[in-house]
Amino acid sequence: MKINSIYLTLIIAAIFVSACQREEDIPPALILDKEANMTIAELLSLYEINNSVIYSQIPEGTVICGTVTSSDKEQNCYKYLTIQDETGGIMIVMKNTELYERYPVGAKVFVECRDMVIGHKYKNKQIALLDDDAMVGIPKSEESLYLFTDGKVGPEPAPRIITSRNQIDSTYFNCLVRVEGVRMQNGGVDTYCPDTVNTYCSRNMMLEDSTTITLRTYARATFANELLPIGRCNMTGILINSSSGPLLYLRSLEDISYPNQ
Amino acid sequence: MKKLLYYLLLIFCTISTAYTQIDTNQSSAFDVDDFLFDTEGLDDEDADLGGYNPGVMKSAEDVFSNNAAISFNIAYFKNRGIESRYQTIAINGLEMENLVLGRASHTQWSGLTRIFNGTKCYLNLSASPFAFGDIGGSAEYNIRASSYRKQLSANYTIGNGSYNHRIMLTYASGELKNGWSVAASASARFGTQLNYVKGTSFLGFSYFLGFEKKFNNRHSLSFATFGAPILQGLQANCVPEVYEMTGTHYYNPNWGWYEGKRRNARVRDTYEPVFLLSHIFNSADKKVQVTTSLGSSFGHKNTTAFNFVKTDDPRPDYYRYLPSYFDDDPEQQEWVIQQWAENEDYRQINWENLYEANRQSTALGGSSQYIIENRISQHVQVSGATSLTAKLTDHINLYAGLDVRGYRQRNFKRVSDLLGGEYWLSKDKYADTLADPMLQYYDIDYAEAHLVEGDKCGYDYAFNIFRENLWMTLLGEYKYLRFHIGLNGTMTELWRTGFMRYGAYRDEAVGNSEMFLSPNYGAKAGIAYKIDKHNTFEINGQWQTVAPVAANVFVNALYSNRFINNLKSEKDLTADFSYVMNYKFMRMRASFYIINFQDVTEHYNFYHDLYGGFVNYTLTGVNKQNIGVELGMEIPIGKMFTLIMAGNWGDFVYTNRPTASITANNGYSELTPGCKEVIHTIYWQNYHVAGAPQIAATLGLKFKHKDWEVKVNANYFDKIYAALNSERYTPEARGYLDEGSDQLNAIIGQERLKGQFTLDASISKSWKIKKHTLGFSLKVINITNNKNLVTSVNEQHRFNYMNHDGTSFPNKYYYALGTTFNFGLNYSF
Repeated sequence: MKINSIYLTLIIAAIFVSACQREEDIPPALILDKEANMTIAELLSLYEINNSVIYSQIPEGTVICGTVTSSDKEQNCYKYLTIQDETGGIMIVMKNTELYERYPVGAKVFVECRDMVIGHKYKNKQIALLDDDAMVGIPKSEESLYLFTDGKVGPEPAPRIITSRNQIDSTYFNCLVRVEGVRMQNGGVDTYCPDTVNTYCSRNMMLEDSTTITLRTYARATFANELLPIGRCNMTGILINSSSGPLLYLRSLEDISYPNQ
Repeated sequence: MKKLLYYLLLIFCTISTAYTQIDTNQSSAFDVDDFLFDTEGLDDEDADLGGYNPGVMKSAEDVFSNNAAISFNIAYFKNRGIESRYQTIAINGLEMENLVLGRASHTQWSGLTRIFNGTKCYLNLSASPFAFGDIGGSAEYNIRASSYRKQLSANYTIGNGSYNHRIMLTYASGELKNGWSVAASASARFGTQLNYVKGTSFLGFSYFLGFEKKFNNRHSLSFATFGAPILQGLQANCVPEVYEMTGTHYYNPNWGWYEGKRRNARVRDTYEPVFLLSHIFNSADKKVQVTTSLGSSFGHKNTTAFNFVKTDDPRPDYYRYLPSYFDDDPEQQEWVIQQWAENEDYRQINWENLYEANRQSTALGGSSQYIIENRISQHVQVSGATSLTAKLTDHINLYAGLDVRGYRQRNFKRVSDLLGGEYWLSKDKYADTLADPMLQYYDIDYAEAHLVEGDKCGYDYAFNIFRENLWMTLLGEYKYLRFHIGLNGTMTELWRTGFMRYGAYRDEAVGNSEMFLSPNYGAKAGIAYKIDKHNTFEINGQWQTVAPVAANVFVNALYSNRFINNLKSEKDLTADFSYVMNYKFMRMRASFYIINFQDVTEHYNFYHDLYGGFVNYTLTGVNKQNIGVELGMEIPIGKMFTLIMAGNWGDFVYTNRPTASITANNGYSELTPGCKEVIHTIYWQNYHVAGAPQIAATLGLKFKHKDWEVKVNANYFDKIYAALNSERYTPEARGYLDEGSDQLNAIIGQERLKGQFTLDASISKSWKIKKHTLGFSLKVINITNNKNLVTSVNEQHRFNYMNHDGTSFPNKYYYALGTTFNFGLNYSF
């Protein structure tokens, strides 16, 4: 009996020990082994805005890299991403929404431009896919074929400072900018975009040198019904080119700061 | 003694469960657990359906299984973590395995508990005289008419399990002077008013008819037929958010109000009758017995379900209808919460909305947007077996046998209900029609056909399987030594026949596939050494290879004749070591077991969020190991009381990193542009295999005096793990997340449920008045009304690859019922 008990004890102990020693597997992280072979400025130079030539094919094997500056969390930047490097910024047309979850501001994104084109929409340069000779956004199911990010979020790029509309040239477009010392026309009276409007609203920002830039807000933006700020402030956002001139898109109301406060 | 035996046999035969497998040769086998209802509704190991096949065979001789079998059922316990497809179940010597499922289907004889109580179990790795025996043990039902004593009995049982009422009538002639014996039984089960789960329903009938003619002492011929048509409204599992909102763990999303009645979208209709012809030959010196059986079964198993196109999902618990989907929209979220709380038409299926959608579509000349389809599975099996039992010497017995069977199962869908519409277009809503318009048609030979109720849709194919099995076992029994050795050889031939040409597989959908041949082998051995008449050591081992089940052989059995690459037989290696003690003051068995499963193949079809479509998903080379200890103990206290104890501690884990092969399922020819197949490595080594609690224990006290028996059991269950979605254990799911981060832990942290207690009690008594016997039994399970015991939990196949968020698609749960009871009355003469 004694021997039997010892046997049993040893067996049970061996099982417990062997079972306790196990460590559960952990899948390895993906390795982002991409490398940019073209700057954004070089990419932009592949295409000159031209109403008769809507787009140019991007050379096979082109990879660009940039930091995300746009955010569609408040739905004012809609179905596009803007990324920028030291040389410039570019808009990537997307089909999906809720991009901020996968490509938050500050995330480093590599774009494999296979089968992609660079062209323009209302004179703003953008890269997109081609479908039936038309530029279309990257569908959700194919994002993983074109966009690569390690999910790590760094600081957002320092915005380029604008104090006068006159200083804006093409290198500012699709970049994060801060327009300093602006005063909104009808600040505290008008909203960014009232319910009665279906698409978007344009509001005038008066800079200190009396030049103006248009603040564009979509009616779908979550802050559209808020009142425009009163007094002088700084506004940070994405500067987009358009047929009527530069447009500033706020990402959220947190993009507004008051220098005197 | 004679009287006692008579009583025991009487009660025994009166009310028992289909899954209660008792060695009738043992007078101590009486157990009030036999009064429990059958396992209808549980005869399915598909976790998505919350199914369960009884996990523990029961033998009165074995102190562990005798006390564990019934007490552990509430938690869906599986003996040693082994699925029921590793058990060998035979009736009159003929194995009852469904060659597609790889296991016997208890539903075929459910409701016939008085007939199917004569079971001999050969537990775990023991030798059995009628088959080689799988690693989960073997059981044989003897339903020959002569095996029942002369009687007529009536039984009524009421309870609140799957159904509320059971009425059963059984007659047996006993052996007549002319050598004939007749036995018959019929039962009806119905009523769900007392049930926990709303919207479920149950209507089941069962019958048995058996004849036997003993020509002389050497020859006997018997015939038996039985069947159990069952119609059942099913339950579905849900995420915790739904259970929290509805305030019950028994919420059922499958039903909704329609014309003033609860209508269930998922109804299962099963009827698979069996016919058996059996001959027994005994040699004059009674040293040789040859049993030969011929069997046939056929029938159907149909399950209805929704189908819909390019419209809202009709299931009320679809994730986009839950408050959590509106985390970024508090106003909408509040509205959804309110709807769930107050609006039953939102909380349950809104049938009227579905009919209205179809009416509107029909008015515009369109097809039904929603239909109920019937997923039909029809089978025919013909089987034959012969087994030999020969007494070679006073101590050596030879068992040998041959089993040959053919099985054909045809699976297809029919339009069952157009829900107010006029026709249905059988198209794949996920198809890439831009790439090729034909990809969208399930049947390109009848593309754009307007299907009406009764027409086939979706898929139509058959599995054809033949299997031949030759086996032998040598059993030696000496005063202090018992041993056995056995060998087994099986050949399986399998092919698929397609009848519908689906656009995405048009070149490989129709006609016969090539034949898949799978030779498999097995060997087993065991030795038991008696130190003295009270103490025995026993060691057993078994090695076997097993053919993959039919559904796992094809890339997509629904549509394609193409085989999975590198198909291998599964290899199982198992051993156990036991110490058995048998004193008057205590009976005890302690066992250590280890089971290694190698090269297991698993196959799934599901919506893969990374690829944005349905995929064929094949896991090959899955290795698992189950180790554990079992302890059973009975300690008599005085003459009337017995303290009983049974427990299992197990550790069932994956032991390697298998490979997943993923191809586009329907609607696409490629998974992603330019890519037809993706290979993933699954990093789940040392994660736990789910499906059953790995710790189960019961402590009980039994009182037995004259014809009274009272029993109280306290049970504990732990190490209940979630079934894994293997795709969460890949670099693709992890993305770039840091090791140790909360976000990664939410993805790969396998959920372990909290241990739970339950308490059961039972009482039974019988009275004999002249030739009449009246008996009753009452059993109350889960007296403390514990509604938090999870019987199955699984990680969803869906996963948020965009944000690598492991919480986006929470686990789904089934819970054990709260307090349930069975009260049975029996009268016989």
